[in-house]
Amino acid sequence: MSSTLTHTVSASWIAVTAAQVQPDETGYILAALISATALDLDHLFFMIRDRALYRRLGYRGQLHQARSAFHEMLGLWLAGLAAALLFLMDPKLARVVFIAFAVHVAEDWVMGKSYPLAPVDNTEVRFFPFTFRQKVLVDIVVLVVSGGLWTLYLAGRL
Amino acid sequence: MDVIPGRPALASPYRALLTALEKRVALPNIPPAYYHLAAMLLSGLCLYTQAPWQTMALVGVVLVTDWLDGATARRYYEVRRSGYIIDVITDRTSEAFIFAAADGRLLGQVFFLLWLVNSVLTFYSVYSNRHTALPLRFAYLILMAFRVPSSQ
Repeated sequence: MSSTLTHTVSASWIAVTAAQVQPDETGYILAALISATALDLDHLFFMIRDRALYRRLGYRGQLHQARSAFHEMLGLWLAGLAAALLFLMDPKLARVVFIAFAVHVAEDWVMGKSYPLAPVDNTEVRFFPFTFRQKVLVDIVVLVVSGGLWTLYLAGRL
Repeated sequence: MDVIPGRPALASPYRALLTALEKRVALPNIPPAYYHLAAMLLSGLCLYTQAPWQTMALVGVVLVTDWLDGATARRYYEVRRSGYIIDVITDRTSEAFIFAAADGRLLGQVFFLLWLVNSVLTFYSVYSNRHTALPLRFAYLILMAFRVPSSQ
């Protein structure tokens, strides 16, 4: 679950700064946070449905199994489609929502195991053979840096 | 057994040229994933560029990393389907960042819509085992190169 927090904080910061959202535009900031978090809601579904299995095996290194196809390229494509439609009404909101979602998906792909082209192709891929300890370390560093950047952004110093 | 989607005949001359170049270039033996990561980070930087030439420079370097990851995989590593999938999702993510960064201009909006088409083609590629993709970043770079001098 630490990855969820890390990816939410970092992806939403990238979204708001890339879309040049001002610190007082709370609606856009909220949209970035929601878009960056929503992706991980599918974990909850699988963790509740397969709770007996997770109780037996533990959660460590198993969460890539708790991903729906929306967590992969299909989700990114749907987010792109939604952003294209949203763009007609509010281009800035479209930009914020899409970038937050896309950055989170990319972070998940780079950091762990995934099935990017599910449900068409269920090949498991892994960019780097990170150990659990290395993943936690990267998560902590990214969280601290992103937290610092959020502070500077909200203080209007970025 | 791993099946890697084959390239279309249309790409043969271009692939032959790159293969010839590949044999003459000294490539460091590093995992191709480093090039994939570099491509994603550099594409993400396009979200923050201030001038077209900066975007062009980044897209140019991204295209080089795209070539280097394949060349490195072919020279030092076993070419696998998982590597192919990492390569195509890196390409789609990179395109998503580059074109989302340019959505304030008509060119960027058109290319973003083409990215949606390219993503569908990615699914078709793994389904049919025939690699089918539009070289969007390359086309975008060329169009930008024409636009930059004319806009000055």
